[in-house]
Amino acid sequence: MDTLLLGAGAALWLGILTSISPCPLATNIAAVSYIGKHVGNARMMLLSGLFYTAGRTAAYLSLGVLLVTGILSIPEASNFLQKYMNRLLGPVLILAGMFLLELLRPNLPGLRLSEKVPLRLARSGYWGAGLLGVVFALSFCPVSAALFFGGLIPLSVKQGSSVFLPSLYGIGTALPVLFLAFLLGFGTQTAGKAFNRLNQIEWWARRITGILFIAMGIYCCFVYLIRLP
Amino acid sequence: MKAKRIAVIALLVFVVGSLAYSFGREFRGAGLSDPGTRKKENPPGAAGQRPDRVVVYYFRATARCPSCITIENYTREAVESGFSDALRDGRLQWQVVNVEEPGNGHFIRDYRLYAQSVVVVEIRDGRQTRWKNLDQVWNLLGDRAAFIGYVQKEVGAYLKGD
Repeated sequence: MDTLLLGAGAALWLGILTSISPCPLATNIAAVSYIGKHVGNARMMLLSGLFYTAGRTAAYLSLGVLLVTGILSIPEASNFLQKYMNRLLGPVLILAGMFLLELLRPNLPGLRLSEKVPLRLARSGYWGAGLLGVVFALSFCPVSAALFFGGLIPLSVKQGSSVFLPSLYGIGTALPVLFLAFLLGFGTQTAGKAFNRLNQIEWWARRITGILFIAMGIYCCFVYLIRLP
Repeated sequence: MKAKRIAVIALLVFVVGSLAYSFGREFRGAGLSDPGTRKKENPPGAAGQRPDRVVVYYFRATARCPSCITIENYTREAVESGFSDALRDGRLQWQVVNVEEPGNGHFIRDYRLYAQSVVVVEIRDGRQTRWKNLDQVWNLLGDRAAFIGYVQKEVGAYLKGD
């Protein structure tokens, strides 16, 4: 029992460490602004936060099951995700930012229903947050790969826990982002109410989030696709 | 309205161009897998190398992060400051390898690499006899002295044959 509790604490801490390390900074800023953009709607902000956490947890849990049970090889999964998921990150962020800014609309002519669905997800509130959670969780950088593949997975194998510990790790990776997003969102909400400017703040929050997404996307394209030093 | 359209087109062109550039480079890289042009690491028994030696590898990817550069710098410092004689006479080698370059992918399988790693390899009579991934380097990143001490202890043990 004590070993399991210690393992649970370690998994949660590894998740928090992953989130506060400098390497996933771009995705964390994007997540904070995405969740915090629902300034005038506390329920929406909480739901977005929960769905973001659920998305991250689901991604790590699925990966944890595949790795702990030996279906996937640790080195190959790690290198594949580090190499290819980060390449997708830039385009995904830019497209999501364009939808947030309403530069693109889901009803583009010529799009089939299957193509419209992900676009709607990007614009929607909590479902979009869940999807972002999955994409950001799977976009491993060297630090998060070291902590997940070198810290959490050996711990999960040792404890024989393919579900519980990876889930706690997922929750841990979302906690600092949620804390900052709620702080930002509720702080702005209080200020907005005090100065009777809530609608205006909401309008700006959406646009700032869209611009941030595009800026982070361009940064990720330069780093992972164009490979500028 | 015109500015909006220009922004949309510019961003979409940037996305498509970045993807095309990346895949184009990947494709050209795959073309280098021809054995004649592939970049090779020195094999264990290569001419001019001591048959008995220890190799300290730093395995990196093309995209760098601040922590990755710190690990490389600290490891280099640990090796150069602690084993300058061994480096000079060839008993110890220091190599930085980009695992994403053509021909280097086998290192990922050989040493089960899941992140940027420091690996110490012992070679006896030109053959690899043992290796160790110094996986504590990630935990000691915040403590330069402890990091250098850890790397020097592990490399020293391999040089002594312990």
